[in-house]
Amino acid sequence: MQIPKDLIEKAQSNLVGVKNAAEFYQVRSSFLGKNSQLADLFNSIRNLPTEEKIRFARDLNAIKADLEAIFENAFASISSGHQTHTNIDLTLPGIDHGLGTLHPISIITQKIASYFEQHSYSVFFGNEIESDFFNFEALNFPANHPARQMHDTFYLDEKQNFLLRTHTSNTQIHAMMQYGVPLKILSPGRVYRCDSDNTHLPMFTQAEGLVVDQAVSFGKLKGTLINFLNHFFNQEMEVRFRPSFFPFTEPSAEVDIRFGKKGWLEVLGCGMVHPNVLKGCGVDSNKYSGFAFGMGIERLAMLYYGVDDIRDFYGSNLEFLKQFKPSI
Amino acid sequence: MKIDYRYLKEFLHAKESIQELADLMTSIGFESEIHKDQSIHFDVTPNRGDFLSLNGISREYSAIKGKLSNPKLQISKQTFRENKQIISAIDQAACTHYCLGLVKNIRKVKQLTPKKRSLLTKAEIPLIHPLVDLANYVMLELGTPMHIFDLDQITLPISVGYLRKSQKVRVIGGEEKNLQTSTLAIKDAKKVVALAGIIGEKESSVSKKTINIAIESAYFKPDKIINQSRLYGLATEAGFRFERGVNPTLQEFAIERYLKLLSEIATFDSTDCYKKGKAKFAAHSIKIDMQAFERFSDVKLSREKATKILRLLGFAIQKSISNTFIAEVPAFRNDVTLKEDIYEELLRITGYNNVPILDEHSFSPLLSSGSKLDDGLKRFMVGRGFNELQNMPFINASYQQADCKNQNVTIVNPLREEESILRQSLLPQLILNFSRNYRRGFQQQKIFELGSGYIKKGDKYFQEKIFSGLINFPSSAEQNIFTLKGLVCDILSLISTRKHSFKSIDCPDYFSNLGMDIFDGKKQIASFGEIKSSLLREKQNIYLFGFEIYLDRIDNSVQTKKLVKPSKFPFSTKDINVIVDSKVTYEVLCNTIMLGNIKNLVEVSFVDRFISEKIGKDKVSYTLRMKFQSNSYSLTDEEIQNNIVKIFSMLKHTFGATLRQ
Repeated sequence: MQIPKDLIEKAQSNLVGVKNAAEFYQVRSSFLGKNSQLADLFNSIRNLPTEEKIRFARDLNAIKADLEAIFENAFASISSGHQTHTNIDLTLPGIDHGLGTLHPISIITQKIASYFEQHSYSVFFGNEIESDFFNFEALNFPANHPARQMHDTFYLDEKQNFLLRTHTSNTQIHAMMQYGVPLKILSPGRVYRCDSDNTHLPMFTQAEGLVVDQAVSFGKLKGTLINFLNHFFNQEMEVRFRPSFFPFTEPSAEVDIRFGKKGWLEVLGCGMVHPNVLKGCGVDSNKYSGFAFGMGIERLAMLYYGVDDIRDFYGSNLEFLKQFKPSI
Repeated sequence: MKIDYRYLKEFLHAKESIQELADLMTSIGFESEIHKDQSIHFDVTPNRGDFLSLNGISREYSAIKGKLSNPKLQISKQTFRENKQIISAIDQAACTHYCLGLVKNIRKVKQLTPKKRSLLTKAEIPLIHPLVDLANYVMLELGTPMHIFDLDQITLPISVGYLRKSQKVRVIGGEEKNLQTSTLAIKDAKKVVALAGIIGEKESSVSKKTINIAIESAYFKPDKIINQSRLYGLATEAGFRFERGVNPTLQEFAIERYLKLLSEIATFDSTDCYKKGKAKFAAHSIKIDMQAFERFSDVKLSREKATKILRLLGFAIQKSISNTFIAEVPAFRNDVTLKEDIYEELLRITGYNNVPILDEHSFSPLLSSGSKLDDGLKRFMVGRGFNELQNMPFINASYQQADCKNQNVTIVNPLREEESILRQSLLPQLILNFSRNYRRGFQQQKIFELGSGYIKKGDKYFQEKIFSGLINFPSSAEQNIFTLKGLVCDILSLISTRKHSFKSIDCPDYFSNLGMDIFDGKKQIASFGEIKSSLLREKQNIYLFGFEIYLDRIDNSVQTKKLVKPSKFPFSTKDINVIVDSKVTYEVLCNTIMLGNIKNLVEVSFVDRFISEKIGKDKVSYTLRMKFQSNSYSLTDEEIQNNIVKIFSMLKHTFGATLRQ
């Protein structure tokens, strides 16, 4: 009686290409099952002389142990999915599930809104078609004041009663009249000015912040904006506040950040809410004070993404826009 | 305003470099830019007309440095008399104070010194004639514009008032302006000699032959000047200053200063000065409490330091007691009316950057946020492989389809005529975007926009939030419209829990007849369908579909759907193939079956629709899947089969349906 020498090799060879448990058990059965060659050999031992029976049984048990080890390892490999594959190039790209993209202005708007919402601001939207009252008069822009010339306004009627809002500050008035005070809102939205070149567009996006309460101070305004800028650019920013003029805030300030080789860049306008604005909204300016700020979202997006030409945002070129994958 | 650095440095007795001086002025609110010609351009905000002079800069500089640095200006003291033969009348509602200095037999006129000429040229004020240049120089010194008439070219007396009839006037520079009635003008006995506060008439202006002059110095109210500059398209140095407000008390002083400087460059025989009206200024006072200032600004400042700053800025201080004082506002600061204005002055000079940085203001949110819906919709679309675009709302009137119901919103003063209409729908621009990107090589596109549409009804304007998208398919398969319909239904299910109805397109501005309107009750909330091929530039093999959802019309109040407790017993499904007349729709079939009182039937769903000559002309075959389930026991095959027989009988009876083998 002879023990086949290549049983181990055959088992290893037959295990190659086994993909699942069913195939595995089929192969295992052919080597270790009741009808296997090994089982036949064990059955034949009983007819051998005693001495040969002992030697032969020892050899068969050794082969059986080896086979069991081979199959045990093979099964572990199948169970964990770690099969041995050949001829697969894992550097090939993954299957594209067609994830779309958000517009960069949406991404930046959400980033800003999300930050302020986490700081208990409510997001409030206003109208783009606005009356002269809400866009100018209630914000302390007297008729025939040069400050109105800062806003190149699109008018919708000859009498200039209706216009496209020139800033999101109109929402300050709507929010205070609608909800009263105390109030803490962030109002993003589109605004319009008769202006167009590579740094100005006739339409752009602003986010307006307004906080009205007792004991609102200039120092808190500074803290709010510096914390926001540090968060937005994800680094400690060098920030400076410069006196400026907006009819609806007093004092007013422009906020600059130092941005690498570009030096100081203006990113925000802000100030303490003008008492005339509070009074006009029925708010007692002796009891309440407030601060407001406004930022140009395209401006922040240009700095954030390193975009040089503001017109790229509205060119609707998918080659440009497909770069802006959303993040969670 | 642009000022020569060297001149300014000498005027202020300053030691700062040009960069240091520019930074200093920027830090107090006058954004300064250094030019290559060693001048500084100051960006002056519209409320600070008082800064538009060397004197104005000097006041600010003094306040920063903590000591007076204004040089005392020499004048030639004059007596100003009233004489109706010289100044007959002025409209005091527009011009409170009008002065004329008459100088005769001027000769041996020299140019201004090189320093003064350099100051003017760097300020971008052209050198015209020494007599005019001198007036411009005094304007740069004091901030008060002046005008010089050739006395021999005007006929006294002068008057200031509004024109009663329109007339043409050739202004300095040669341009002819058609002055309208109600224009504020300076007139002599015969004609208009100047547009008040803006520019003079050409003929009466100074020329090489001029030997006798009339020096005009007046105070015109800002609101009377501002519209005139715009109306006639005349942006002048004088107009710029009057619009922002000049010192109403400096007119006589300005003429005296001019005469003093004139004596340095020319010889003349006599001077006579006249005036009409008064230098009107009602001084007002503001009480300041330094503790209130500290609460407002978080800056601790002593009363002594505060009053010193204000004095150097030109304010008079009265009743300085304990922590309070009264500040009297100077004539040249028409922007200061409230205590907050004074706070700003103190903060400007002490430095905004020295205000401490405090923690944010704590607060509990009150309002619900409307941003979640927008963000959620956008992210849903991104997950479905769509790319977001944003467009400006200005569109070409010819491109906007004539809307069935609404008027366009038109811009009175558009940047370009072809952008004079505000869009009612987002689709026209998205279709343009699609075409442009198609030409760039994007053969398959999924794009969307969330924006506004604008309409006018009568004299009222409306803005509506719209959500639109486009998707193109590689073939004209019938399945395309259902892919889109599925998407639109998914979007609506995210926003609203209400049941919506579908009807054929009623107002097909952008869609072919392969499309539907969606309603919530009687209110149309969305449309979708195949985009009309006539709207596409690319005519071949484009199967473009789109949708438009009117978000503001959708009732998105949250109605939590009542959950159904799942049965402990399994459900079974069974398909049925029926052939019916092609006019019978899937929706009608479904409703009929569901309303048919079939025991344990819980759902009917669509599997397939088939049309072929083999099943008969004008016939259609539907495969419908019935789902059966009981809450109390497991259904048997026999029960299910009996139900199928009942359903078929009902369809046979109602629609003449036959079974498809």
